Amino acid sequence: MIRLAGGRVIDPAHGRDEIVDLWIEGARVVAPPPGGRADENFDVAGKIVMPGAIDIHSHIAGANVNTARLLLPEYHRAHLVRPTRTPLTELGWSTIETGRLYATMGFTTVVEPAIAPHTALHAHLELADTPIIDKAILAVLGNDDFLLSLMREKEGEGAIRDYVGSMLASSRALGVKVINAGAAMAFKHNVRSFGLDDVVPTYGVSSRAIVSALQQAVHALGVPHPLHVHCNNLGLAGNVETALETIAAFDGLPIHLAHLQFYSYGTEGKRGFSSAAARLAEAVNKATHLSIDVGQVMFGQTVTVSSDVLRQFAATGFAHPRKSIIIDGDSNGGGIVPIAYRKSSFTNAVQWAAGLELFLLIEDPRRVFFTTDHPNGAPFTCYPELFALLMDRNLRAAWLDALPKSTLAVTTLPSIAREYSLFEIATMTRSAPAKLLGLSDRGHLGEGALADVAVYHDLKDRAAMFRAAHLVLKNGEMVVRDGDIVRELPGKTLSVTPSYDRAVDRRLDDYYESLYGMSRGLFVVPPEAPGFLGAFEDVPCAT
Amino acid sequence: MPGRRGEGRHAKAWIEGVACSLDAAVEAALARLRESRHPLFAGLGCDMDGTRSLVRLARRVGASIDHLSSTATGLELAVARDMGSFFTTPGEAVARADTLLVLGSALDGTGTELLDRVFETAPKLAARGAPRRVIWVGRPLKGKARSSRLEITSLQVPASQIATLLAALRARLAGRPVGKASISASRLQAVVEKLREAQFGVAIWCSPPQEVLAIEALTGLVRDLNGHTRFSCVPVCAADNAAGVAMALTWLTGFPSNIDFSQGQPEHDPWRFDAARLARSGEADLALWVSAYRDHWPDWADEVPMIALTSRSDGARRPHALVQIAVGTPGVDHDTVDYSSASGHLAFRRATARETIPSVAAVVDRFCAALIEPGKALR
Ligand SMILES: [Zn+2]
Repeated sequence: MIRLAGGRVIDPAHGRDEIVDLWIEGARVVAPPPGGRADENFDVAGKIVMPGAIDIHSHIAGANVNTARLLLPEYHRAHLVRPTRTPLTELGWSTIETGRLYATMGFTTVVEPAIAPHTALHAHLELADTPIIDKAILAVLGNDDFLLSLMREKEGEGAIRDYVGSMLASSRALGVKVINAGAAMAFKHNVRSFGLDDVVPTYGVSSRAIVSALQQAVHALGVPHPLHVHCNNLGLAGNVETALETIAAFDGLPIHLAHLQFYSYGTEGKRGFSSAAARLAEAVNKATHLSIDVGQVMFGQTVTVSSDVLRQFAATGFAHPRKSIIIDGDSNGGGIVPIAYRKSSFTNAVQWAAGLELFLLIEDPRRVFFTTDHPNGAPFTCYPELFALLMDRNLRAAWLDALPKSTLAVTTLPSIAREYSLFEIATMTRSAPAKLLGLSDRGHLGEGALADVAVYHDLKDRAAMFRAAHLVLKNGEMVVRDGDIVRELPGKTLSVTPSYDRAVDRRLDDYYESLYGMSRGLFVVPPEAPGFLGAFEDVPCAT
Repeated sequence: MPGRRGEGRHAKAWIEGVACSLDAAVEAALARLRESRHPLFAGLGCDMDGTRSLVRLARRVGASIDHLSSTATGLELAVARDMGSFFTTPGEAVARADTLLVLGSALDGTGTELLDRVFETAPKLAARGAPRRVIWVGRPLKGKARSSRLEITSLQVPASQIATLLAALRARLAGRPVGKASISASRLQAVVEKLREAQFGVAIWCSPPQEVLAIEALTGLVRDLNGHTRFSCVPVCAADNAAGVAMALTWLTGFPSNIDFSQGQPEHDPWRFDAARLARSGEADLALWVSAYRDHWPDWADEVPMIALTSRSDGARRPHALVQIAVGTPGVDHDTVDYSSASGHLAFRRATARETIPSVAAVVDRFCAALIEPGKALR
């Protein structure tokens, strides 16, 4: 039995912020034993004790991420001739470093949100090689011929639900993501821009209809995580209209909009590019069916890794360094485009400010999630700096001073006084993500919770505090002490197995044989695929 | 690790050419690994599990690590790394490509498995209803590709002139004049028109290292074509799970090949960490040679003390190896995940004859179990 004695326990799921001992037996949090004696006692008086953090959207694994590693070896830590220190050089490019760095910051569960089902096996192998933390993938659907044909032929909700259920099961995913719905397929037909009401050539199906069909299917299958949506028109001036339309269009059921910062742009100001984050935040505040994550931009070199292939192709002209890889996948797409966000750039400064506006103007920390859309807005190693910015308006003011003055005219950020409390940080990074993903035994420190615990020094320098945890326990085992990894245990991968009519599996078998001349078995992930048993853990669906 | 595939009940092993038990061979190999100052893990002809276990061991003992096809794979990846590129999958080539640009110099005229598939099928998802167009560049096309489903244009040039021809096509696509080329101006123009008319075109090649210039020219041509229409590439990869091993090394270290762990952090250098150089120079004092897909040995086999994990074929015993352990063939003797050239992705395959002898991963995990405390943080 372990006792973490005398720490300030911040556990928003139970409304707790108090000095109390935390008891752990095996992998679980337990009630204080009567007359209890601990085998191991850690004095954490004066320290902050939180559940392990959960990242709902971070591109840490899979074929596209691995291609980014190949494209940018110069940003690997150990590369011989590397550029000067940037967040990207600090980033662990390898799966091994990814697990270690996340754990060091007190994160114990991370969701890789964009895996094409055909590359799910690859992603699961990478995740199995990402130590310490638990992981999950979201399966990307919405651009595949099978689904679009079902919709064209008006086969109905049941057929789509069974198909989605089968894809979730065969790819061992925790949920479904749709990325610029229909655009990857449209791009194969040489379409170069694609909005919510554009129609995929030859299928006659609109982006709006695809999102709607998937949202319903996910709900009908009882998958805890609502449909995770990457909207149309990412990154374009004036795209706040797309985001607002999307929020209004899918209001019947829960929905999650990813990296909303990239859709918070207006057309005001001399350059026709402005932050419309305040407008967007107001809409989010009103739309209670909705959760969002931010996709904060931080300054420095990074690389965008996205399955929004149409958008990524359009961005290739802005690549820095000047090289990109564009992928037309089997039923998806992908683009790897390196980018440098510069403090001296008006556009990048507006993006940075817009992200912070969303964080600070969306009132309910249970519906706004902490992401940089790693590595698209910034590598996850920037999180500590971002926590500090949210918690300190003076720090924000100091950063604003270093930005082009023209930025101030097109953002409300200078006028925002809000500072996140530790409780709100814990809500946004612990209790809320667990709830959003349907993980009932994490994100809190109640009895029976998984003993994923992060203990931080209560430093004035919040960035330093969150960069290197004092202690981290994973499943009740000490994995980090004073910012150093002390155990490198394998984590698990979380997935759902919804029930659906298996007849669709046989139909898919025939489909793969007839279209590709391949067995569908090539794309199915059996439980033993990662090389050891027990790699997967089932997350229940509602029935 | 519990439940590792292919533990193997019928092991075959030798110490200096004399048959012994698997346990004895593992002990002898461990003794050598423990005393080695700079071990080299080479060949790496193994599946994903084998590669992942080998990297764990390399991290522990500070080994250099190099796949037998790393030169070809590395040069090809270097073009993509330096220029960027467009890639698609064999599945999309089969189902969607209305136009194929094939660099045939290294592909046998009878066609690889992928060429057979694209030649023998119609692209069911192609927007254009016409027969599939094939633009065949290189030495003459033989045999099979005479189907009525195909419309073939053959540009016969020696391998050494492929890069020049592709550059000429690229110039004509941009409306720039070309000088003297091995193909007439009107012929070039006709080919450019066909490329432009593609609605979804795919370039297919298998590049030997001497054709880097051709791959660069092709990459540039495909990039330019995407200014007009859609075009992408499918490289046909080397044997011995070369693509899969490069993928795993990349996610485990950040680099696809030629990696060294002696400084703790992985380092990458195609020259310094080349297996043949390390073996011949004496910088490596021990080699762990792995070839599970076929009975194959490096030409430097007798120049460095060697532990060998080799394909199971009988009579493959090498008396000069210090220790030799026969390992199963992935997908035959044990379940496996490796690169599928049919899908262009990693895939799981069930064993066809289960567990007669151990997998590479099973043997290497025994080394790891003896040398690494479970859960211990390395470095
Ligand atoms: Zn993302």
